[in-house]
Amino acid sequence: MTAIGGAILGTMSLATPLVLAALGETVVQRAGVVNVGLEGMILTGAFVAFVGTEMSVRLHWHLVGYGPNPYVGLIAAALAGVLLAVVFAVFVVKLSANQVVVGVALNLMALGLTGTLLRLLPRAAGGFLNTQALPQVFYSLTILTPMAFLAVPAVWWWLFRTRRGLELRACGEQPVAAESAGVPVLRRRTAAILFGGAMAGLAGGFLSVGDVPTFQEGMSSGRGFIALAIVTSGRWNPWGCLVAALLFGFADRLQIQGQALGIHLPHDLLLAAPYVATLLILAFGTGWSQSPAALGRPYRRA
Amino acid sequence: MTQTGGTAAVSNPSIHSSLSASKPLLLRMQGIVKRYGSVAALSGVDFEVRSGEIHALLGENGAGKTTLMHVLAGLAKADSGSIILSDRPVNLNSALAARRHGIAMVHQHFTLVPAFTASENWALDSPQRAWPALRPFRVTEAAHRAFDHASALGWELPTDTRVADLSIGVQQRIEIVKALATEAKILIFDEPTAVLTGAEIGELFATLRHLREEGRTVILIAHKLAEIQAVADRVTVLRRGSVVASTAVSMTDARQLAAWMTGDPPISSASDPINSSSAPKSAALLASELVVSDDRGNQVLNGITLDASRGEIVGIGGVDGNGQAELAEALAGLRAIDSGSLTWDDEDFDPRGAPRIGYIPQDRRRMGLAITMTVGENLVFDAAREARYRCGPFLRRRALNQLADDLIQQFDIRTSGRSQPVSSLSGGNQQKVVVARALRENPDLVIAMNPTRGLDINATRFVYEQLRAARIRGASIVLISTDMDEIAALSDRAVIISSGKLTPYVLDSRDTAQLGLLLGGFPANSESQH
Repeated sequence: MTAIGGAILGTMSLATPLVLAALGETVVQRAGVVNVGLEGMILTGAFVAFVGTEMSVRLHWHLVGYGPNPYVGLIAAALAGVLLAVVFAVFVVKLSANQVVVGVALNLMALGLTGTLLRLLPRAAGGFLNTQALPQVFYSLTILTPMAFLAVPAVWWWLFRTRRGLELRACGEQPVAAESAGVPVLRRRTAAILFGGAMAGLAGGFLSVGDVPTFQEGMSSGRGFIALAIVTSGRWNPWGCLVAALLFGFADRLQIQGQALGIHLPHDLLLAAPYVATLLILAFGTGWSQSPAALGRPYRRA
Repeated sequence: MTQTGGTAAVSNPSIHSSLSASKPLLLRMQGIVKRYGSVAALSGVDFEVRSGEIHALLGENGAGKTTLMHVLAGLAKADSGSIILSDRPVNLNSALAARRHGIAMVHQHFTLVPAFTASENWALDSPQRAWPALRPFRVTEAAHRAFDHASALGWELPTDTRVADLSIGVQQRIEIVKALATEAKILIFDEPTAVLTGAEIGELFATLRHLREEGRTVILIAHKLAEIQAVADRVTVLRRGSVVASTAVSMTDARQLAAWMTGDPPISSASDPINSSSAPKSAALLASELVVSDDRGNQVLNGITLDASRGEIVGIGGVDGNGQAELAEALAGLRAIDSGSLTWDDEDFDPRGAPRIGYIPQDRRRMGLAITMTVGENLVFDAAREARYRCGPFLRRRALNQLADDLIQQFDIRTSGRSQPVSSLSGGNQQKVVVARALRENPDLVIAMNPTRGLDINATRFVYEQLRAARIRGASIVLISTDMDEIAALSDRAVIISSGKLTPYVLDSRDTAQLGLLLGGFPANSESQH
């Protein structure tokens, strides 16, 4: 493994949760909904993946084998993301609540809930919280990385080359027009939110059983917000998301590399590099982008 | 005399002409009630349509025509009442349900997705097939029926341009094609002529008759009497949410229809042209060799020269999308000019001094008003900049409120008060807010673009009176309109704009053949132009 190869794999690995979450959010925003609760969904996904992996020991299924199974954890994480998305959808779609406010509430709830539940876990007392990691399928990469990167063309194709995709985009541009074309706007928006939740859950699962098999309080550390920035700077296009996510992954990788090489910069400054990259992407990457016209606006049927 | 009362009239067979009586009843809406808050938009409306007829639904703005049709199209839920289609009660609780029953609507505020192309909009509306989530989908293929209808009508529409970048007239055609492509039995047109010009209206009517020939039923929401007489078989008149009359068009006349509609004795038509009695004065406004580009950087005005004297109304007629919007914005100082000059009394425009400009933009909902704010706030927007209404950075609320109240009274804006949201006003009263703000300070130069689009007779008359009053005060008025009757009724002098060029037009002649050529972009005497 050459250094360059390692850097590429590292970049891809670091970009994986961002690609997953940003793809989900792209679909959500194309439907006209801003899910600021992405961060909370990722954090919850990370926690549930961890707990699910641990609990899978008790399943004793022949199918999944014995011992902790991180795939069970991943599925649980996706389901947890969907569950939070249901809560979000009830408020945002059904009750037409302010999307940003509900999203922020969701973030705060996820932070508090995972922190509290963590202390209830029997093993948390020792502060030692390792679990079974996902098997590596290609060098250091787990199954999630190829999944995320293959999802890019899949989501693009779905959005721009199927009828459902056209309808979904219409929901985000001009819901009245979609409704008069017979598209059930509220149902489509709900479905998009649930998909976004599942993707955010998987992104969280990557953090706790894919990357480093451990869970820490607040371990999503702003990735949900970075994914939001990626959606915007990727111009609501899966390919754009991929580019932006890789850029961020690269900045993150540089930061780690910098630490390893002992570059004489304050540690905190290096840690900030990816976030600075996000700011730069947002500042220079959004000038010519056009957001879905009905983004963030609740839709009520007459 | 035919009748005046609601339901009794509808069921009285003597009022039907023999032609329409032979056609079977297709649709019956009974006792439709729709309330928005405490306001009843529809109070027990009975409405009947026969198969294969063109049925006009006539009424002033706010009479409930559009609401009634929204109920029929599944876009609004009636509080009570029933709908019977082909002798069977139907539940039209969604647009989808309405479409399943063969009902389609061409909206006044178009329901196209602005960010989509025409093809994409048509594809969105095309019939569903199995597995829409996983089946590859070609937009042009899905829209093929719409393409067929467009070419059957002889319409060449730009199908690969974002709808938002097209003129309103073209957008409407896309919308009409969309409705035709659903193969609906009942087609509802919501004031389709409001955005069209003479020749286009004729074509639209031909289209409507063609649809009737095919056995479709057309419901035409309208408030122009001549149009109803030209194309409709029967007419139902609504006033304040109730049916006033329903009869064959051949059984009535324009005066009677107007009386039903307004509840007033018929008024004489607006054609009270101002004679060019005033001797020609030297031009106050002079725009020479103006070159202006649109938002996408395409040059839409190719060096036009225009002048206007004090106390003169200069009418600029033409089909939508020929550079009118850009011209209006350039004159109002809202759009930079690429080259040429704009002078007032031989001096360049001074944004702080002369001329004071009153601007009535073409789209009151999008450009003229902050639609969710109150009537008062909309009225005092620009006044709030003036020193006498401010105390440093703070507003003098009492003075501004006084100003708003004065304007509401002076311009007869029907509202429950200045704190009512402007969105709850009827179209006519919304336009009065725009006009009041534009004319408040007796401006030297008034730029009015389609100032009566979508307004009913009384509101139109009001706007005309205000513009005439401004003219008498000595203002220069540039009136840009797609309605040649409006140009003729108000202007001292007229020009036609086409493809960013101006051609003089003699108002007295009203030579329709010449007008058609001018609107189509053919200079009447092309030799002398070059």
